[in-house]
Amino acid sequence: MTTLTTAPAKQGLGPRLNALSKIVELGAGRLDDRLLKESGALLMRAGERLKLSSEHTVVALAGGTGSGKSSLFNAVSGLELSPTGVRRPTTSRTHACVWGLDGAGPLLDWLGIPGRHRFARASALDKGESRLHGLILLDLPDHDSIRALTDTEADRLIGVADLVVWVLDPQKYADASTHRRYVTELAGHDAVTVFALNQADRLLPEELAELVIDLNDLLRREGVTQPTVVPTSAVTGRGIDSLKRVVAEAVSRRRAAIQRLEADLDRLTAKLAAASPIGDAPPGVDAARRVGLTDALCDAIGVPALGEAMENAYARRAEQWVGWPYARWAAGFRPDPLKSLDLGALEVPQGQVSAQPAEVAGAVQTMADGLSAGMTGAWRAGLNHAARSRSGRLPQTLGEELAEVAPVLDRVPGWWRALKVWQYLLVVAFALGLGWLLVGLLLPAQLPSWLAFLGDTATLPWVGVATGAVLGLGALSAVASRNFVVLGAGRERERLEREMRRRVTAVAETLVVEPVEKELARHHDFTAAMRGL
Amino acid sequence: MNEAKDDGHPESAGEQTLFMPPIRDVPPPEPVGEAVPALDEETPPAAEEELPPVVAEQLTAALDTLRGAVADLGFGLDLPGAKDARQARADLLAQLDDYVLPRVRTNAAPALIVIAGSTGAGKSTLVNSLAEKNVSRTGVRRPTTGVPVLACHPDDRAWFAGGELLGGLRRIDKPTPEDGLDSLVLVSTEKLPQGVALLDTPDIDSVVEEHHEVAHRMLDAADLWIFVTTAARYADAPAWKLLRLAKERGARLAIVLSRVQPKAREVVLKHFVRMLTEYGLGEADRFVVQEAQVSEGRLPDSEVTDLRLWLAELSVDEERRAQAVHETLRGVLDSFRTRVPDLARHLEDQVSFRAELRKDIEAAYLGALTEIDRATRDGSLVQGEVLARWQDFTASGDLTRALQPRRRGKAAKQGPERVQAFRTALRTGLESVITVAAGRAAEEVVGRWRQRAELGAKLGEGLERPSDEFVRRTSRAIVAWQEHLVELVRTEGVAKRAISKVVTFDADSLSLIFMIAMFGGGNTEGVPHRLVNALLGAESLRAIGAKALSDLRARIGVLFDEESLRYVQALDAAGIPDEAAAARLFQATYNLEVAR
Repeated sequence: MTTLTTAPAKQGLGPRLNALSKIVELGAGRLDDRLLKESGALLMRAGERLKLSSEHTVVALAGGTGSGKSSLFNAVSGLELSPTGVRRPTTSRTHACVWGLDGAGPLLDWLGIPGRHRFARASALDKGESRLHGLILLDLPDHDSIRALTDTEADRLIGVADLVVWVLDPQKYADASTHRRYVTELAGHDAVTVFALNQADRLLPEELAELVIDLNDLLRREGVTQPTVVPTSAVTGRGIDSLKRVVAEAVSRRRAAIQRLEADLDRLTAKLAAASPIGDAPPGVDAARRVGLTDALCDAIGVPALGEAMENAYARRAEQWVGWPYARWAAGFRPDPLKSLDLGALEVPQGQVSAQPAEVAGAVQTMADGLSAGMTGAWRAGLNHAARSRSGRLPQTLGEELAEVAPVLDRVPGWWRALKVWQYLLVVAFALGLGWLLVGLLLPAQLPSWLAFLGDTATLPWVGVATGAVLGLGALSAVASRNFVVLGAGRERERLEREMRRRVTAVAETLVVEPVEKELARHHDFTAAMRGL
Repeated sequence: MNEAKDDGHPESAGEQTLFMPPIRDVPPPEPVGEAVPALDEETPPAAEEELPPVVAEQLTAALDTLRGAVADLGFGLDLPGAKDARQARADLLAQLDDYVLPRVRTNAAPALIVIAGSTGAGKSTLVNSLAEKNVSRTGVRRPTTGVPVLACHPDDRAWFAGGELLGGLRRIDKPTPEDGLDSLVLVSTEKLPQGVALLDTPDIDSVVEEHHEVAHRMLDAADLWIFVTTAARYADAPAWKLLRLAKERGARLAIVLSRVQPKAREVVLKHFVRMLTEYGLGEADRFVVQEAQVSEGRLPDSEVTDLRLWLAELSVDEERRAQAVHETLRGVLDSFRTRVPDLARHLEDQVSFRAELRKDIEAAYLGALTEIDRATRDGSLVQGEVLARWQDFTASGDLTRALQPRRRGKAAKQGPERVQAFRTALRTGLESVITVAAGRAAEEVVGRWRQRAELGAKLGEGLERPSDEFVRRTSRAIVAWQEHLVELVRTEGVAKRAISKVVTFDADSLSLIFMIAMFGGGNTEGVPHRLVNALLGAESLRAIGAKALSDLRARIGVLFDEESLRYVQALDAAGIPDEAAAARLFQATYNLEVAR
């Protein structure tokens, strides 16, 4: 991964093509269709060309009608293979001449040259021609006549040839149809482009010199940094050897096919980079963002509110058990205004859990926005889409999942029961004490003898003190146990919230984080491939 | 052919067409279409040769109106075809100024013969040879001629120097390197016959694309075209594009095939003529110039004898010249029948594109409003935290505390924190419903725009999310709405008499219960509903509910209006096509046809 991102821009053709195929694979739906198609076509062409003979170099003679492509073709091959003439356009089919036919068949098939237009030069027979061994010379139809408007043969072969020799002539060397459509477009193909200025015999030497300078200037202006211009004349044979030398050099290096593909790849790379600037996004969802998402989802469910409600309910229920009974009885006597409204039962069902759909959507959106901030165009939309892909089920799933841990509101701890017993014992003790006091003070005379001790005036003050103490003890234990209740409620709330968070995190992981991470990984791989291009 | 004359005020006819009397304000589309061919058929060419002054005046007025209408056009939106339309507009305007208007005003002017063709075809050499003077530079460099050169007889010089024809070009005597394509070299020579002038133009097919533009501008101003091509080029696509244009425009055309090798002459000529005939140009005058030694930029005299004779004939035979001039003019005026409506159609495209994009904005935000409406009705607002708070609110006795028996005087102390949290939960819920809906709407607008055209994608850049202040504004709006609801409950929520005797309530808390009842979905049997119903009465409940909801909707509407304004502004910034301009164009074309 890191090797890809830190590697120098220029690599071998192989790794770069791998990167391109990765881009085509990952870029579907994220890149312009036209560009994807172009990339796919280049991949296909590269694959096919590299599989075919590397011993052969395809050199195409291209140019406007009447520039003398066929004459030059014949002059280079030394045979009258391609018809020449004065009617325009003359050549309508591509002709090929092969030096060293072995293994060239499949390549010619791939180029789409029909058998009857193929010619072979067995190089062994021709002395001095051995340097051209491996050359496949194509004589293309023109690209600028009215015939070419409906025939894309020339256009197709200019696109696939390893080396293109542009055949120009003094009349047409500055035609827009050649320069705008091809030369400017193929700027950067210096190594695999040669310009033959044909029909040089028509000019005076000083005129030719002026023209060559002018053509060089023009080509440099168009981005061809080191133009190779060869003045030729098919009529006098001038310059043919120079042209052969240039071609032979390319043929003997056996590199033209690769250079051509590299140049094409360079151009495509520039286009891709312009169309899809390398975005910046994290390779995965980091811990902070996960926590952020869980927090936001918990808010959408109202986990803190549920906790608070649970705490309140816990305290209220505890009051029923461990509270001071006298306070409870007193509260029961307070009038309830709602009763007077005659509304029937006003019980709101408790313990329900659900998620607010809009807040859930907002939580997911916030995370997606944060992650895609550095992304470009379609990738942003793609991440949004991924984040939402499963989140439609999120509110319901969250509701169902958390309903299982909904606060339990009927559990009664043992100490509550014990305290209740204790409190009632105290109440009973108080009642007994009160009875003793009343009887002892008011009716000491009527007491039967076996109960006479109740009226014992010496003990009565002590009984009074004890009764008061019992009352105080009840209040005191109520206060004390309330503190324990608060503690217990806090613990219970903590437990509830922790459990809810855990479940929310798990649900978010499968329904949101997982698809998002997949998309992030795709983006990451894509940018890595772009850097490796 | 002249309806304006019928009103009996010939002197005001020009004005009438200019200001478009109301009766013609919007011409029915059908009559235009039908009137055009009818007028054409009824008008014999001879009738146009002598334009009576009144007719010329009306024609000028109609053309002025057309010019105004075309000049007012603007194609702000970069739709496919906008570039062509802008170019077509500029061409049309230039042709009106350079050629049509001057030609209609002064139809006795000398004929302008424009020599056009491929680079290297020998246009300049031809002009030099005919003028017998090196008026235009020749050479091996392509393209050679940059500044157009006009050669004419000294007597005609004054007219061309006057600057009616091709008025936009600066007249100069000698080209200097600084002179650009906006100048015209004017040379007079006695070797050229009177009444005809030759204009040597830049090429139509070299890498210097400005040249093509200038050449076309020259051709638009030509009375006659001489098209020059060579034996090597006669099948070139650009050449045939130009020939097709000449045919479309109905321009008078002569064709010169130069640089023909003597031994190939027969074959090439035969082939070329066959091609011309196939294209329907077999009638055009043809000249052949053989490949010959060019000395000092000129051809041997023998090669241009035919052409010289042709020019001389044109010069002497005024009738023929006038006919040629009028044919071309008519051709140009005819071409307006398609060129102007084409412009109008593109303008209509722009107008309708803009309308569609605006509709997208409205549709998206309308959808968002509907979504919010649904959320307020289907109970989804009473979920999550709101539900938890509501449960807490009821169970903790806050509900009971909100209502107090009358005789105990003021309401007892509230649990303010809990009520506050409850209120906040409701606000947050409502806020997120609105912001999520707004986010969807923003995304939808941009998505729809992107689908429509590349331009739409460009306009929507940076507008994929709601604006930064949207959340803040929403929260302010909801707070305000909640306060408004409390106020409503306080002022309008007059409790039923039977109740008010017994119970008093706290408006703050009651407004919260009210919201729960309102957003709780269709469940009218629920506790909150029964409660507020009992307290306020069904009628009062409905009234407050309706008011509260419509107030909420209005506040959200304002929020969304502000949001959608961003898109409208982006759209406006790209250019607002004038919706009436298309109608004006059709009107002007109609007027022109009437005046012809």
